[in-house]
Amino acid sequence: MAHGSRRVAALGVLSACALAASTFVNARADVGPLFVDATEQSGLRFTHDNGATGQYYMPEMMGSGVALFDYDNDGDLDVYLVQGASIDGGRPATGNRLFRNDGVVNGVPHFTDVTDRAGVGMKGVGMGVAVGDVDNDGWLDMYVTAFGSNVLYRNRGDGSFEDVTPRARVDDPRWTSSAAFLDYDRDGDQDLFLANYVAFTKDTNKVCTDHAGARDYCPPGAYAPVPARLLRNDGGLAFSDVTAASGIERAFGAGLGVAVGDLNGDGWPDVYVANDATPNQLWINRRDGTFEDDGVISGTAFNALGRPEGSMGIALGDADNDGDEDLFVTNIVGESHVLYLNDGTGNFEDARIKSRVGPATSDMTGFGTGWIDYDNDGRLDLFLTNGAVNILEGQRGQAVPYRQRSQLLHNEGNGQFRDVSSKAGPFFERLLVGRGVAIGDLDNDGDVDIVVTTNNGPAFVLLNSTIAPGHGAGAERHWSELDVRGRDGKDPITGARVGVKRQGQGTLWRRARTDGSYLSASDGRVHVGLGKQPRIDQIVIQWPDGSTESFTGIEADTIVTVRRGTGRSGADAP
Amino acid sequence: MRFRLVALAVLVLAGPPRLLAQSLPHLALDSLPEDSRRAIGVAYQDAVGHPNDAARVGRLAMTLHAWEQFDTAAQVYARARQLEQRFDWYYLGGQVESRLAHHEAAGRLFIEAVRLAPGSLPARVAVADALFEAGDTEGAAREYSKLTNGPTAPHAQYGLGRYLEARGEHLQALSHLQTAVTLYPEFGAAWYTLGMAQRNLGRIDEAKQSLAKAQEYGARWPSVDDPLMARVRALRDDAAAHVDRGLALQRQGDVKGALGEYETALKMNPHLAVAHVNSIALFGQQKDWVNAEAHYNSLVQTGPVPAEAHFNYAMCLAAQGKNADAESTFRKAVETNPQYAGAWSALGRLAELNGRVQEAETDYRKAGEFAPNDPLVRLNIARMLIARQQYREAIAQLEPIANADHPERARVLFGLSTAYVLAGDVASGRQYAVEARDVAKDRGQNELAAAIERDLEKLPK
Repeated sequence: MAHGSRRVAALGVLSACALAASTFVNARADVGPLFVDATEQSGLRFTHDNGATGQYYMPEMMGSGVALFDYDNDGDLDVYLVQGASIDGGRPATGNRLFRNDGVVNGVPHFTDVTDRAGVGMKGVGMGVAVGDVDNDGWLDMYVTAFGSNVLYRNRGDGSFEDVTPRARVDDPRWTSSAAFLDYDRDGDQDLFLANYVAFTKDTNKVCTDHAGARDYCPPGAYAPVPARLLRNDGGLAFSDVTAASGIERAFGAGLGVAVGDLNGDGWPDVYVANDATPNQLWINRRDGTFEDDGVISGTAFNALGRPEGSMGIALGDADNDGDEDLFVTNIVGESHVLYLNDGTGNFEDARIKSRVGPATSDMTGFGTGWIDYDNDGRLDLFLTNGAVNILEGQRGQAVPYRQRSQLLHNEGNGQFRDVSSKAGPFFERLLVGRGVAIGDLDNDGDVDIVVTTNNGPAFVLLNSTIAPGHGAGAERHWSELDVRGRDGKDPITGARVGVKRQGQGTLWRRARTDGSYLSASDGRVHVGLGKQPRIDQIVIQWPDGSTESFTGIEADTIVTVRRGTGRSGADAP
Repeated sequence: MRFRLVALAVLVLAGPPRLLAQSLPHLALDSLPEDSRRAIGVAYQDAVGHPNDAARVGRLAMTLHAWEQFDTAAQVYARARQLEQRFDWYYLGGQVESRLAHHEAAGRLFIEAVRLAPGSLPARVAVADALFEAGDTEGAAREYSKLTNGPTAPHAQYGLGRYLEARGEHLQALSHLQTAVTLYPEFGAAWYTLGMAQRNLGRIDEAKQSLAKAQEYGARWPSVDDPLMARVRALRDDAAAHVDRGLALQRQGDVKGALGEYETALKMNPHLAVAHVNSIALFGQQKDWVNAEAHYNSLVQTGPVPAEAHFNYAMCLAAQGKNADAESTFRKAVETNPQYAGAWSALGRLAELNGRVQEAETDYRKAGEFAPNDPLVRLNIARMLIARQQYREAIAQLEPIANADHPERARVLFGLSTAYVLAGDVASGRQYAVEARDVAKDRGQNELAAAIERDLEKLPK
């Protein structure tokens, strides 16, 4: 498929033929696992090399991430995978990889490695990736983080990227983990937030042991945390470091996860930072170019005992369909992961016990995660991948004593979540050192798929099979996928808040985002499960600049491009 | 015939053969390092040799527990319970399940433990906590209500407060939580829940104060005497355990006790860097330069020397007035760890003392790169800026931290006062000076307060 070609027609409200479910030969069981491991069939061949040297250098255990994004604007999601390397250069680095989605064959998307052509094969101790359109040219760019120098790849729009890091002044030679694009000043361009981890260097490597005295990876407290950074986009591919001016430098921890959302409901983007074993930050946007850390007062810095937890991956989304964004954060074994419920004003409650998320995850060390309405019932479920950072007692003596299972938690709709991993498919029985997670509709069939990375192991493509004909979980469930774009129909709008209004039912609020999870970037399109009712009365969009617009005539069970300026401004907007 | 019938009757009356308890879990001892292998191995062989001996099996479980092998300890405690219905195996089994965050399982075990020993305060408290963490908040509240007198009172009041807070009864929660922190002022978790309750009532200023206390006190908790858990801890006698005990004593201010533990640890493992590093610091505090140097030299001989060791020893040298040696040792710290803010700060201070002001500012700014929120770092940078008459820049350094509660707050405010006055804004300067003086007085920094007072008197009215 030629670069830049689109499957959609350019009308006021655009729609795409996306009912692939009715046309492809179903290679998967009609009734069977919720997710099918389609890695082999898809051609996505990638194995992470953590560069382990036997010296237990911390970066070996922490990578790496994955991005799902449409780099060639052909309407489907491509995959970028971050590679590791030996810190001491003992093994040749193989570099990050970009896989182009060449479309669905026999129900499975097929990927081709186009890294060399694209020029994005950065070699180093890679960590994560963030996706955004930094120059508003309608082509998605990437910011790749590393232990060491980071890289901003600008998408040229012709299948290739250029490294504009020095020109943009966006490098950070320290240990950057997750990054996120956001328009914090609402001036129409994408700024950049970097989470930095700890001040580890090869020369300061410490000897740490586990509880039994065996050599193991050091905890984050062995090194000083490194401040986060906020880089303001000044246009023309130039950024300014506004870390001090914005107040971001006033608080920091060992940053691993970053997510952006409007957490106090004032229409401005806020930033949540998950810090490893240090208090998390909730940076509330004061709407004047500065931020205030409300982590402690909001109840999201600590657990219910007032203590910091592991805090690696983040999922931001409306867990209880009350219109605000709730926080799910993954922690380490013995802590349990946590669901912080938002009261709408930026005050949160640690609801891990009453939501049953806590008991389901107490044995796990979690990393990448995301909200995913896997069965299109209109309620956000949770996917998370787990993998320890210290020797697991039961695996002591084994070659890789850090392996755990991934989990799928179903939102029961009564404030509780149920672990359905045992029904989700054979992948969920595998013991892996899970790290990155990116979520998106890889085959454009209306249900949401997942790509998982593992430390020193393969990446996995998990295709959602709930929408397959006859599958019980997704039977008679409807959906909508909205590709939110700017006025010219090209610029993807990250940060827009999307409300799906249906008569007699509450509005489902979602956000166009690529950030969150761990070291990863997900599909920026907005997926909404509609349950059994396919009718959509209205779509309301709150644009990042605060204005609102509503759209009608949107059909369910289609992927629709919604273009700013083609709806009704302000009217019926909340 | 008669004999055979009698024998048969005896067999019938004896019942079926006694069922053997489940096998002990297999332990991969070879995969353990020497210290833990030795300790666990002895207990394991003993238990394997006497698999139906509850005491030996229990001791194995306790040894695994001491070495924080919780999964395996849980299995062995279960085996011990099969052999003997003893309080110890239920209570300790519950402790292990709690550490694994298996709160429902822990609750069941603690309940049975209390049934076996109703007077055990640690077990009764543990029941209440486990019920709460497992989601049975009503059950937890009933248990906490029985514990509101005596040594368990602070914990019980906290538990009741937490229960009411979880129900949304914030006002009712307040009185219990306030009682908890009155009974035990360093109860970090209680201060935290109190802060959340105050927040939910809209009392934001009070909430922030409570939450600040929670952060100050951290994990401090009103303990109930627990001899059984003490026995478990005593089973671990390796170098790391001594270091852990040393750290705990050091935090409590018991320098002699801490040094004793570090010495014991080093006899077991002379290369244990953390014990050397901490010993240097503690001997330095006591001005015992000889021993501080001995520990430093031990590390130098065995190598590599952690940056913290260079730093601590350099501090000893500086305290003795050996500034040149201190400077070169601080340099070793930053060569080892270029992001060591404390060492950069110290180099700045030494440069300043030697009149090398430009170099001092460079070093302070280096410290500021890696510790941008450290009040002392900002204060030092601000002083350099004031010396160079860059008053507005000095104000920009200090204002962001003016309201934060830290030990240097009075000096920060005084620094702001100075900068404002010199910048021509006497009114603001006076305001900050008054606040600085008051803060200094409150904190017993009488010399500083007096110096500020003298400066205030010099300001034009």
